[in-house]
Amino acid sequence: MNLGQTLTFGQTVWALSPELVLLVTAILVLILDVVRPHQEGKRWPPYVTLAGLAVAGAAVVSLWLAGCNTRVLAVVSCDPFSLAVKFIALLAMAIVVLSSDVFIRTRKLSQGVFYALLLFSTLAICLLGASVDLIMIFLAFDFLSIVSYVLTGYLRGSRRSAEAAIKYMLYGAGLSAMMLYAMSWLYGLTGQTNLEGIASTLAMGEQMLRPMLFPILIMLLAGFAFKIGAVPFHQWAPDAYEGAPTPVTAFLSVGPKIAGFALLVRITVIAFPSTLNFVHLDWRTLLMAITAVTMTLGNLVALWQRNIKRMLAYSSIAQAGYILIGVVAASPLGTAGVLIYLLAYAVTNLGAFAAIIAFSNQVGSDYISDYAGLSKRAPGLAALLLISLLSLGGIPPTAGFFGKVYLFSAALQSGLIWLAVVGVINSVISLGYYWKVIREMYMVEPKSEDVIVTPRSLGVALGVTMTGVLLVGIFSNPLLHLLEPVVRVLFLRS
Amino acid sequence: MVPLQWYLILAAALFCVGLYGLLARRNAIAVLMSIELMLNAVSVNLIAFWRYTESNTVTGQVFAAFVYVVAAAEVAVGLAIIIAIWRTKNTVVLEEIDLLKG
Repeated sequence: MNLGQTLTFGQTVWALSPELVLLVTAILVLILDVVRPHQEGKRWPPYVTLAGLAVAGAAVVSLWLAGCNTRVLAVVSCDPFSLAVKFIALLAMAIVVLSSDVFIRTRKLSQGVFYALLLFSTLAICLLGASVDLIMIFLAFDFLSIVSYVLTGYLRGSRRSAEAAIKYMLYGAGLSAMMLYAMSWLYGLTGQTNLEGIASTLAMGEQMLRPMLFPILIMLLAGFAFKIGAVPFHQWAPDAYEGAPTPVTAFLSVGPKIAGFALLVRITVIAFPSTLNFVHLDWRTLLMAITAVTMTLGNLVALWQRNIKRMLAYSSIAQAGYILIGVVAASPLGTAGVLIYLLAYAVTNLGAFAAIIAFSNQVGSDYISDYAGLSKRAPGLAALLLISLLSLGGIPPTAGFFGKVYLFSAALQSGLIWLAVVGVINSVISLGYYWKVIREMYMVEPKSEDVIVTPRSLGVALGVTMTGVLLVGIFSNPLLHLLEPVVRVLFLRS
Repeated sequence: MVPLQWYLILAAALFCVGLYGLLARRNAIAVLMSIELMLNAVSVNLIAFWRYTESNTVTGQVFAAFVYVVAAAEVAVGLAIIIAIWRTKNTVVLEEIDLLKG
């Protein structure tokens, strides 16, 4: 399937098969939940969900091997970049499902609805990563947002969960309305909703439109910054992370970021390419400022946190800053770096959250001071959390280190030396708060002697994430050689 | 025919009223209503641009229709969350919803 070729019905279905599988599985889970209600401690929903994710993953791999590079129904692109995004999203969601199982079952929450919502959010991420049309982008964007609001408020009767949901929802709906207003202007100025059409129309009268395009860019970036949790639209993140059920926090720290970065790369590379001098300069300048501030503020505020979920919220804001470096670099190396770092960040952060869920499941606390002496109470869990934190801090030979190397070298290659320097300084600052948890776990005497038992599903999640952290670290170079040529296609088209 | 600018000014005014409400109102329901105003501004914009620039296609109309679909979904979820807040806290005033901070 190549660009410009008209697809038959069968080919269209094949190209959309990951999304269709997710949709069918989500509906299946909902129906099964209705057909067999009130079954205490039922075990099937996570298995059905995982099976759906696996089949969708197989579809993604088959499309990748077939070298799919085409437009489906004019609004969705099936190209290597979107397939890579989908693969990362499916892997991340599978880990989220594994980490949710015990949490949801012990709290007697409706399982079917929860897993259906997770599948719908995966579907939204896949669609957002593949959209090439403003209408499709905004639909997938709000689809993902609305599902995330519901998931955040999923703990019924919990004040914190409801509060987190309302803050997230009002913040998100406001910013998405702002982004939509910018999109309506973009449509008005160009008469196009297709990203490539926008680029070619802008090329004709860019200089004249520049004063109008600048505020449009600011409002567009506001919406994207909300989704990836970048400063100055990050304030929802700590509250939503702290209040949401912990497996949902794990999802929030990864899912929307994958989608947001895929969207950001696609819009900046295709709709505002380097062939447009002024718009290209404007968005890069804006994003550069956001990048530097996001990294620094996220890291500095994280130093003062006492709740580990809140600390990881600020840490994930800082991580979004690092990934933004790859977007600002606006080069094939930068884009490949974004993908590799998203993969590394997804497995690392989900590993940390799986460990936190295992801990809080038994101890019932999220305060860092309660992690005292964890190495004696649960040596394996402490070691895995240690590896996750080291990878987040960027210590070799973990995935986080190599991810950062590519992002920073992409910055150097694009002549953004100061941004790489800010990134390196920030990585050093970040060790400060990761070290705080490590010291608590290994150098402080435990408050209680109770052994912490990790449930089997969480053990599997931890195993998968740790394997991911080490494999992505070891095979980062082949991964780069695999991804760089295929993301180059995005740049050639413009 | 009314010039295009008038519609754009109307939309911009609507958007600004909505934005002011979003930032200044303390009642969660009023904030939700303000967001709806902003979305209405988007619809006015889209329809006006569509009518005056390329009325031979339906892109603008489709876009506007989807804006309404999403707005309705957002309100449904928003009100559900506000009811959840009301049940646990007996208030919808945003300043009193302050359990999470730091």
